[in-house]
Amino acid sequence: MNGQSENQVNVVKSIIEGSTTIESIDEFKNILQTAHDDPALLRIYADLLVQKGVYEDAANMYREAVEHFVASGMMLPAIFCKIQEWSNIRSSDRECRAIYSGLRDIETDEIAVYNFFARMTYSELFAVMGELEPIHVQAGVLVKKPEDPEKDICFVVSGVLSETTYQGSEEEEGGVKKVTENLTENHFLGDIYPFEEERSASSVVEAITDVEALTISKADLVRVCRKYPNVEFLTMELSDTRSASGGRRTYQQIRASTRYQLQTKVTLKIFPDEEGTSALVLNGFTEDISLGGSCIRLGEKYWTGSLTEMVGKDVKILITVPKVSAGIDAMGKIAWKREVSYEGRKTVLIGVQFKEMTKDNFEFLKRHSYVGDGEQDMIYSLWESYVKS
Amino acid sequence: METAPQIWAVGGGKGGVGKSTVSTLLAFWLARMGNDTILMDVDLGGANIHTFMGIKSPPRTLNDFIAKRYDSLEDISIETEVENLRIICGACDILTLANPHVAQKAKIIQNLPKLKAKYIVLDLGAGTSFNVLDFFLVAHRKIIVLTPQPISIQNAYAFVRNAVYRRLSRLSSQRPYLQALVRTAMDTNNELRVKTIRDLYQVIEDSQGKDVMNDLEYEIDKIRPQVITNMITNPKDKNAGRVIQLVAEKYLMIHPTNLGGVVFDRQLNNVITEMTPLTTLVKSSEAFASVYDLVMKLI
Repeated sequence: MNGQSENQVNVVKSIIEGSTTIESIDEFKNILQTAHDDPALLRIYADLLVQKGVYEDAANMYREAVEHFVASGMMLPAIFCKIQEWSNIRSSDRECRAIYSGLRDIETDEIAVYNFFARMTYSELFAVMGELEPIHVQAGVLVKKPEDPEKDICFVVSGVLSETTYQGSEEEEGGVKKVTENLTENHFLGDIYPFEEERSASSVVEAITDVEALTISKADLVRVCRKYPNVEFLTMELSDTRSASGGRRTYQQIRASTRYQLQTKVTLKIFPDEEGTSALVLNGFTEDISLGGSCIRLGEKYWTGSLTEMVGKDVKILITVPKVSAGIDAMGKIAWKREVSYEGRKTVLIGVQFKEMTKDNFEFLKRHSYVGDGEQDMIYSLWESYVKS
Repeated sequence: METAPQIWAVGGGKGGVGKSTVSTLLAFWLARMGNDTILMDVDLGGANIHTFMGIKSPPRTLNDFIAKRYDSLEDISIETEVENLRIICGACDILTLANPHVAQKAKIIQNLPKLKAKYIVLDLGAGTSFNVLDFFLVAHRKIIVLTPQPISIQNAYAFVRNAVYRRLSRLSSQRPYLQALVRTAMDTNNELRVKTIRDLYQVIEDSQGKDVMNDLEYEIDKIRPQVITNMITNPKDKNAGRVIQLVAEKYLMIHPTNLGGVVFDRQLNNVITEMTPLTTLVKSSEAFASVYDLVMKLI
């Protein structure tokens, strides 16, 4: 790729990510010449045309974006753009039939929201779409808090929200547990079914990034369901995808333990099984430490030897920590060992599970977590959503 | 007229994510594009860049500069087989330089701009010690390398978080009360209930005034890490950088760039294990091609 086209690709990317804003229609047209089939870009251009009051061109551009979104299998952005198109110019029946057919052809891949829309008849789909309202939520906005009445369903089109619930009670073993999940595109929130029950929110929902979503109020949905009973059936199924996981979504689990990095020198004293044999003393560096244990990279000169026999042995571990003059010491057990290549050299990693530690040392490790719980939870939930295969 | 070199620092927290490999490949491409480039090993606890370049026993290292056996960093630089590329080797003696005194670190940092090169690529050590962070913060391009595993992402984030707090701490060094606030906030379970940099700015604004807060915010906003995901084996892996981006935007109020990824290259791994110079692979390595694209984005 030459430098110029590379730059253009970067410009397109930055426009889509929102870090670059183009205010001029002519300038945008130039950029579109290199990426005329990118639906996200077309959609941003259509938004610009609306801002400039060029409604007919905007509607055409939204229509084009819808076609590309459908072709890319992106159902919610397609519906979002179609509704934007309608707010400028109403589509013909033929166009509506085409989008209906396109949406039904999208591979649903077990995505609950896709199943909800794809299984509607033509009339049902457009009755629901007619009530959907596009919304924009800025990063940092609190969307919902416990006890707020549940009065709509919100389908996430783009962006990330975090949903935090508190499970269990003080009386139960383990007490109250805080669970944070991320809602990204194709997820939904809103616990409104059965319609006759007045429900209230049990979680805190906050926009982490700017979010675009489609919402439909409970009142409007009830009205549609009276006319089209199949929509109520589909709403019930959609609702079941939440309750099947105890009111929570199935796509996300948050790790329980805190693990943080504290790369420092460590001395291990491995106790022998037989009496009369002296303990083996090894040195190394910690790779990371959690309250439950530590991963230790042994010094290079110790990588050979009878390491297999080490697993299961009791060990006393002394970790050098600058702020604790005596270091942190703990009793533990070697749980695993692995031979690895570390930047070109062979070395050995071992995992030590802590069994005993003084309260002071425990508190020290706890307080010196380099990453807070919120950050850690967010990293793990984003990893689940964005990276995990 | 000679201009000061542009410094690129490559860090990332965890050992084994490929910081040295990425540093070497970045420096290689910069040199290959005709730029005088110096690859400098500031992994002071485990220097190894020289082995990546096929040099078993470097004749001169940073140790010689610190020990005043040579007057300048320029004098300890070593030519390599790659045209336009020199290296400055780290100290191989772990005990001597793993924890350099403040003055020694300052001496190295102060001498960086005097090097006669267009680009200096710093290969930082693992961990988030002040020594590593200070080299990172002094660089024009602050590059973070991670792998797609969650623990690596977390460590890379911890590195960025510590860099932000280190900068805040330095900026507030003349104001004891402000520095105490920053130090308190760094403890994730602090009594001020500060969870994010936004919270900290609010506390600072309330106690020190809006101007002080604005100055700090302006300086911290300049930390723009550029994230590279190494050892990519499937397309979703390169979103690891996006994770850092989103978490840092929310909690640290900085704006990292997700630069892209370097594909996992078994050949490269084998070469590293055999201690053959990395640069012998250039024509057949997918990782080399990935890094070329990254360099094009960075220059």
